[in-house]
Amino acid sequence: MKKEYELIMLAVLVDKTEKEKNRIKELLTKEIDWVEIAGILMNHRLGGYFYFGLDEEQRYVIPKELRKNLNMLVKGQTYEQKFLYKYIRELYDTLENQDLRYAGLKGIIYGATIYSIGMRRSNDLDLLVYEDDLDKLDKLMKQIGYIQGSKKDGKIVEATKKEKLIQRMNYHDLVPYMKEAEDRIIEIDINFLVDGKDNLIDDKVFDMGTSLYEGDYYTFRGLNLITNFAFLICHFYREATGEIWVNNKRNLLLYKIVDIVNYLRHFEDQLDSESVVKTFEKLNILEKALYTFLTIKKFYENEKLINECIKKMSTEYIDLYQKYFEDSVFERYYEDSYNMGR
Amino acid sequence: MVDVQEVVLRLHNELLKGEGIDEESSLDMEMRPRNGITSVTIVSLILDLEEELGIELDDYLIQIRKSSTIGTLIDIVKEAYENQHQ
Repeated sequence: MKKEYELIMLAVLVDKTEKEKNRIKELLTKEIDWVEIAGILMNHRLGGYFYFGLDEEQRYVIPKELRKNLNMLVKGQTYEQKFLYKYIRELYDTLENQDLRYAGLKGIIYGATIYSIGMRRSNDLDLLVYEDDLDKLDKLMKQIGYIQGSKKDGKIVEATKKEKLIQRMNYHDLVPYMKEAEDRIIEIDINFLVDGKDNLIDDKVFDMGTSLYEGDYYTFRGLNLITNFAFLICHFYREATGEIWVNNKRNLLLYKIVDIVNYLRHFEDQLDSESVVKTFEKLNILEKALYTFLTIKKFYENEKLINECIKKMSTEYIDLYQKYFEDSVFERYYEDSYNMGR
Repeated sequence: MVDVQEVVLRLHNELLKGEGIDEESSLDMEMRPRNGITSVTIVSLILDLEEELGIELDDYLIQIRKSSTIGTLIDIVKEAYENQHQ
């Protein structure tokens, strides 16, 4: 692995081992192509992670102008997140205790558990809502000023009934809910399917329960640790393989891999490969999980839980494992990632 | 009393014709693209049914999405019609 790639992939980890910390120190004594680092950090939304991942002294190894830009990026992200947190709290107050099956996803959960404010960029908020409860949700969202629509010239254009129906009948999520707040627009994506329409597992997922995630700035309800992980797998697979995403090269953004690894490391004491594989089998997402694990392994080859799961699957689900055993897709994914598939 | 079955079959027949499919709608016909039901036309069919029958199908979308034949769709629309025109 190129030393620039290695430095990035190690620095962006929240919970580092001593060995990884020492390797970062060592890498920072070498000649680093900071232009390449800057490009990767910006293109892959990893600037905040990288800045937070180095200590004060190490940050001074970064060339001055890049360091100042990263510092400014973190300040900007902090400002934006503080703003967004107000609306996360409003959402929680609105949805909680309403006999509605819902769960915060991705940034909402990461922000409450893993990442410090300013570390990760969030453009919108993501929720999972049980499909039977969407009407109830709609009424609650309208009460706090949201409408379903799209952005045009800085304004919200309400979606027509036909547009809402096309989205609802054909995708896993709704036309986003939006509201104008101060000088910007808050956007909330509502997912109503954990996986695709050909694998309806939402009953099972909600039956496995939800938990409250308490952060420094807000508390929010999410799925339990394994089902939240299952959602991340389905989401990763969809974006890594979906045509729209692949054509726009958005499938290759590294922060998605970094987020999953940070999540697994943060909760490693509470997740074990036995329960993970068993749950994923129950949810019929083993193949998607294997795809995700093998992709992650290309970037982080020593992740304990990932390796244990792959090992388990290679013995208990031989056919599935064989399907990917010599598949070059993971190699390509790795090679294409850093330069965004150019 | 409106004949819901007749309305669904007629609108589906119009849809089949519009898609250039030389078939006659029937209860056991599957809700599939080869029978004119695609991701886009299903939405038009729902909107046309709502307009013609003066009903809202929002609460029935999950069932409609899961329905396998035109006959099942008719049952769902009949239920919606009866609930909303009592």
